[in-house]
Amino acid sequence: MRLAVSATTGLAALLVTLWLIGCAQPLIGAYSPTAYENATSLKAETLSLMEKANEPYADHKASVDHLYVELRKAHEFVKGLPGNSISAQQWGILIDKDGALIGQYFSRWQEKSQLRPGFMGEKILQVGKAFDEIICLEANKEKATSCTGSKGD
Amino acid sequence: MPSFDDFVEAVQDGARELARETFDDYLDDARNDARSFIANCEDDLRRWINMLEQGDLDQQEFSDLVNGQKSLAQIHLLTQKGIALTKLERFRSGLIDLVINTALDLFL
Repeated sequence: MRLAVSATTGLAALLVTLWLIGCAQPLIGAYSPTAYENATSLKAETLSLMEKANEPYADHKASVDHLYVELRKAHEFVKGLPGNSISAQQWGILIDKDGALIGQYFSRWQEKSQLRPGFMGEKILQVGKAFDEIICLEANKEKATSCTGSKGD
Repeated sequence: MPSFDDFVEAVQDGARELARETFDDYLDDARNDARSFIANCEDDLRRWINMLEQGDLDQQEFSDLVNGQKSLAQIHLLTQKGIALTKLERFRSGLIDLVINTALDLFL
């Protein structure tokens, strides 16, 4: 009986070992210092530009266009990393031109030429939190990190 | 000469410890995080309703913020899913190291 249990356990352990070795593909992409840097620097650039929405859009159109190029480059970089589909989805939602975060804000700014301070403040907070989520996940890829301090609360 | 059973036992002990180190408090943390996120959403919604009543937001701005909150919730859920995967990945890597190191310690 003891021999049978040991043999079964041994076989199970061996199978698990073989499975582990066979599954070399990581469950999630590795930490990328570039992705982290892109997220933190683009958070600062995006929020700074959003704060100017009390001025005419036309005065900042070139900056908005330039920012969008930078955001797309960051998204494409993340998409190109292996096993990184979750982070890529986050970027996709954040920067979608027809979405409800950055895209919507700049569309409204263009439509109305200037935005009202109450809306601006709330949307800036919201977009900041969305960036913090992306930054939080990237930080956790390097090591387990509590992100409560980075949510801008 | 250690037996294969010794190897299995050492790996099992190590795996238990590794699981405790990797996943201990994870469920509590995830629950607390979800509660905190929902509480923040409630606070935001109350503030926006108040701003709508005061005329600091119009209906379109209010609607834009609520839609933005849905997108933020989607991003937050992806963060939680990703963090769970980082823990699983650390556990798997640790287990591979454990199996290899235990075998080297016992048999070489």
